[in-house]
Amino acid sequence: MENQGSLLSIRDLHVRVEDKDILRGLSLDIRPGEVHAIMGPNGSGKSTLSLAIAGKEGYEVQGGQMYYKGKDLSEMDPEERALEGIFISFQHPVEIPGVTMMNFLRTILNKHREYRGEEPLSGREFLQRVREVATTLGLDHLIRNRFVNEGFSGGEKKKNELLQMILLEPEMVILDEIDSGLDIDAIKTVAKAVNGMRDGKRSFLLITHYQRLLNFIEPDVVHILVDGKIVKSGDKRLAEELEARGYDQLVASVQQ
Amino acid sequence: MKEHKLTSHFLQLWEQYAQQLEEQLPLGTLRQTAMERFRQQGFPHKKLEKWRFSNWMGIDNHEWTLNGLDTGTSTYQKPGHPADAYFINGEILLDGEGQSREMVQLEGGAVRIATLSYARAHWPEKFFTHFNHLNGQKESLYGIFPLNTMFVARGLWIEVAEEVELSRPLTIVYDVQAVPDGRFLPMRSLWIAGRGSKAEFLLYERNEPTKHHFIHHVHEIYMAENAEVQRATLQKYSGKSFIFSAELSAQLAESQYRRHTSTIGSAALRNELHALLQEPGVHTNLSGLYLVGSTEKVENQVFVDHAVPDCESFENFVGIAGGTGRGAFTGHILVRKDAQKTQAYQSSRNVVLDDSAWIRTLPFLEIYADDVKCSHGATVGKLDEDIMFYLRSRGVPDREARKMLLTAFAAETVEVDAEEVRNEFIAEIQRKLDELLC
Amino acid sequence: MSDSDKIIQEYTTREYEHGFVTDIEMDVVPPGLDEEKIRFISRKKNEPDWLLEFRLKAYRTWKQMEQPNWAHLDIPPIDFQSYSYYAEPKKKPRYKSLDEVDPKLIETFNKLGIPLEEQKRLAGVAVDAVFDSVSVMTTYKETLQELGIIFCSISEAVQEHPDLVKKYLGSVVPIHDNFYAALNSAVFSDGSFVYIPPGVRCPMELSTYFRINTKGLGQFERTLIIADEGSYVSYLEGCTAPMRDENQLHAAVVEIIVHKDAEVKYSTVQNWYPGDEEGKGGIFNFVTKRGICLGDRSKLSWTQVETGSAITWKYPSTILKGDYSQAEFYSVALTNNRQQADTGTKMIHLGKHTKSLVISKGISAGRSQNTYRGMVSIAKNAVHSRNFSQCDSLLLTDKCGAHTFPYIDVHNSSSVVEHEATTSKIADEQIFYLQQRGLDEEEAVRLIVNGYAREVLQQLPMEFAAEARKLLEISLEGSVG
Repeated sequence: MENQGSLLSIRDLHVRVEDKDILRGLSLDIRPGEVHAIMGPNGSGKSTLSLAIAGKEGYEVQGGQMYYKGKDLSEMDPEERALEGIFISFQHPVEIPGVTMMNFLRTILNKHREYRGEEPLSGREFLQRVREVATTLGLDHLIRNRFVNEGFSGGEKKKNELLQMILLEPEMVILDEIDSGLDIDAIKTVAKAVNGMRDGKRSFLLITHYQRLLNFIEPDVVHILVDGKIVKSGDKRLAEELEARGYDQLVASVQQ
Repeated sequence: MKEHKLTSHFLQLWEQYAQQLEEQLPLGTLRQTAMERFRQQGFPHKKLEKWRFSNWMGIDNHEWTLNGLDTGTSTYQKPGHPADAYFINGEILLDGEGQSREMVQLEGGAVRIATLSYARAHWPEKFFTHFNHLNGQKESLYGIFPLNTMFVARGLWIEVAEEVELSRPLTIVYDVQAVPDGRFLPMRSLWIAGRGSKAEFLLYERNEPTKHHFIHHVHEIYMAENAEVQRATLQKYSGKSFIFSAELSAQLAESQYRRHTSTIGSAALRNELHALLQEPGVHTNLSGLYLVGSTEKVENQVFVDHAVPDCESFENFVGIAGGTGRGAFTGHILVRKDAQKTQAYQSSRNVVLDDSAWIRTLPFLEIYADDVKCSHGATVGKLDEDIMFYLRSRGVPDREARKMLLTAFAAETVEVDAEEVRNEFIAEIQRKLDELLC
Repeated sequence: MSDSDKIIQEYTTREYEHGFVTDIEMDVVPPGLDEEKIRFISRKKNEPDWLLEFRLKAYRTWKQMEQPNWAHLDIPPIDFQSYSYYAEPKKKPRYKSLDEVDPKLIETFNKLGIPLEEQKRLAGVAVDAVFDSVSVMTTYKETLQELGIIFCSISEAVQEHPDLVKKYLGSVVPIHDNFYAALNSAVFSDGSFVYIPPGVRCPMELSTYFRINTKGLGQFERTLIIADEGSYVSYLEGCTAPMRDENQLHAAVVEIIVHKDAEVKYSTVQNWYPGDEEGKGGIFNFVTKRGICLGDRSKLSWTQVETGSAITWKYPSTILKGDYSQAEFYSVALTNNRQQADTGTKMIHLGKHTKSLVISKGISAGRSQNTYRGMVSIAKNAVHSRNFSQCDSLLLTDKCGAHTFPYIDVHNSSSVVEHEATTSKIADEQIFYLQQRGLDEEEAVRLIVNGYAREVLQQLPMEFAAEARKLLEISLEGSVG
């Protein structure tokens, strides 16, 4: 069923949310080291795809399969998917009152290390590591005595997602509209962090509305998602074409 | 009105012991008056509006006894937890070293902790201006209050001198150990904070898990002008004991009171807090946490009486119920007619973990003055599903994610400044959460 | 004398608008209550045996009960034997056409703004007018009949649709429910009956107008509304009474049954005579209103604007039995002078995925006492249920009281209940701001109170929203302190 050699393989996926069919037969193959971008207009099902991959309740898979490293994702709890190496940067990260950043980061990092059979980091090692990463992202001021995402600006929330991405060292990274609401400087910081993670094995799926992000993170494959289906795939020139012609024209040309 | 069978039972006990009790702690007419009030009110039954939830199932199936006045335990042990004073079985005062004392002086004499009989004998005038002043006001309300005055023979006197600021928090452990089953243990703690004093107390209440007692503890807490008092209690009663604990406080002008109690389970426990904001400029902060599982029942009844203008009160209570546990909160803010410029806030937040658990919350406001700012919020619910999903998508398993969120939810109420003590409270909370989440 | 004192004085001399007495000849049953009187009422109304039995059983139950005293109300002793329990106009009580109606009655309802004449009828509103114990006239009856909708007095329904009445009467408010409900079940005189057949959307507002006229009369109306599967109806009741020095008793029972996929909107504008500024006279309003969302996805919405009555004891409640059923309660309660109100709602969640919403706005003025009392109960099996309650109180003087007594009970782990309440007065800065913009103090208060009550008022059918707003303003006038 799954495509040999793919890290993430999605076949004819149908997903329903609150009695509405959002994804209607989506297929996608991402091999190790590849960077894919999914672009689509509002309501095309972009975020539904990332949440279905993450295993959120209420995102009912009505048909099709999702395989990750050859394993059927539908059999796995959200935390199992995460520990197996799928990281999703959410479009709207939630605030967690009362849970400090340090407690949170240390818990999730050691969970991942434990799963990979590694020793938990000592307090000092952990602190050093977090500081290092936080500094590169300009988040130093948010890691001490703050609750997770509480009172963070939009940009800070997105950077906090990247902080976790870097700490957890996932194999499959899905960035859901990481660029939305960010100014150009922040996008550059994001791109730098993502590019720094590219090592030829780690795979990325960028979900975005705009082509702008792709100027800084070069994708191998670009997919256009319309009405829950990928209507066209190509290389990065497809994104440029989209930018030039707009969704309506492009979709019209595809439908002809 | 339905007669509770414990009414006649306690009246019989009274016949038997009144004289001995009076010899132990002479209270004169106070004791007799209390008995008459108890006879009128009777032991509280379920039909009383504020006792509906407190059906202390099984409390009336016991022939609670005083069994002579002494608990008959000469072989008590000093509890493991370090403290400045220990009060064992509601009768014996130990100093920090574990030596039995009638009076302990701390902080260079700024604080005196004595047995009630010592205070009664040595400072009779001060004793009688305070003893039962607050409890007496409640005795006609419910029979549970005079019950204490009728039978109390022992207790603690905790006095902070005027104009002193303590250098550190003082710790008192209330322990019940090796008392025979079926004992009724009435005790009274009298707290007096002198004018302009500043003190913090850490209190640990515990008992022997295998035993079966009816512990009835009334705290009367008096704060003079400009006094600042902080009391934090870790309340951990196990076994099948029934606990009634009343904290009655009165504050004079510009005084500040901060109070927290973490209640870790209990078969049947009722905390009753009555805060009287007696003179202007008073600040009161009451917080509490209750965790119940299996068949436990914990109730907090909080009454804040804004009797005068220009006072502030804050209430923050959190409840977590699992298993077939029951947790209840009744908060009643009364703003009297001329108590203008009152600010009163009340928050009751609760989480129900299992479908057989039960939370009840009754956040009442009764307001007779117009220039006031009063609000309350009450929620009963579950953990935020989006947050749960976020944590799980970062690799934290369901149970651990729940524990993490519940700890954060609970810890927010723990008003304790000293980091290591706060951590001690939180560790107890987490131990209880482990039990609730399994 | 300060401005506000002047305003207060001006208000306290204002008269209750609907305080006139209609001079019409009535047949009044002598005061007092016993089984013989109940048999008399039943005979007078030519009722079937089962209904007489229902009444007698209720009477016997009532005799065993005590008047409840848990509310935050100071109720003077009531001698239930001093009231008369039935009165009807001497002339023929039920009219085939308007020509038969006593012109004084028509004039009364005209004065109240409820025209019964064909040419003056309120567009889009069918009215059942109840004068003392008897339904006088129901408009638009034929139009409704074509759709199979039954809208008539309950006395008529007993004769014409006995099976429906027998099936549902007492099914939501059983006779032993409470003291006043038991009394009502024993002596109820008239009231409205509504039945909407399956799938029918009632094309107009149905409205009942209650008027107490006769001195020393207790009014006990009974309303029964049944919305069959997939139907919809919006129902409104209004009430007034003349000014009288002695207290008059009003103890109504309303039962609403909402079947699968049906929806009922029930609105009340209650403007019974509140008594004078010293608290003399006024209606004692002890009302039991309850609906049941019986079927899945059924919906019941209550809206009440309470400005009248000396004492109000009223908790329109919903039992959410069907899965995915919904209930709402919107309330504005304004008390002034010596009025006392203890009102709120109960939301009893029994079905899965049930939802309820409570929005209550209390406004206290004069020396009045205004209490919100509410209960939200989520049963063990009512999984994934939700309630949100917002109960605000506004105090306009330093002599009144505003109280909030919510009871929240949750028995499962998947439901969420949220309750919020605030108590405050109108900020001086708000008044000042509006004064600076050219309003006088009273206009400013009116504007602010209207804004405060807006969320509730906009739930009312359009024809009545303006009326309610006006009523609120009249009740409020001069109450600034």
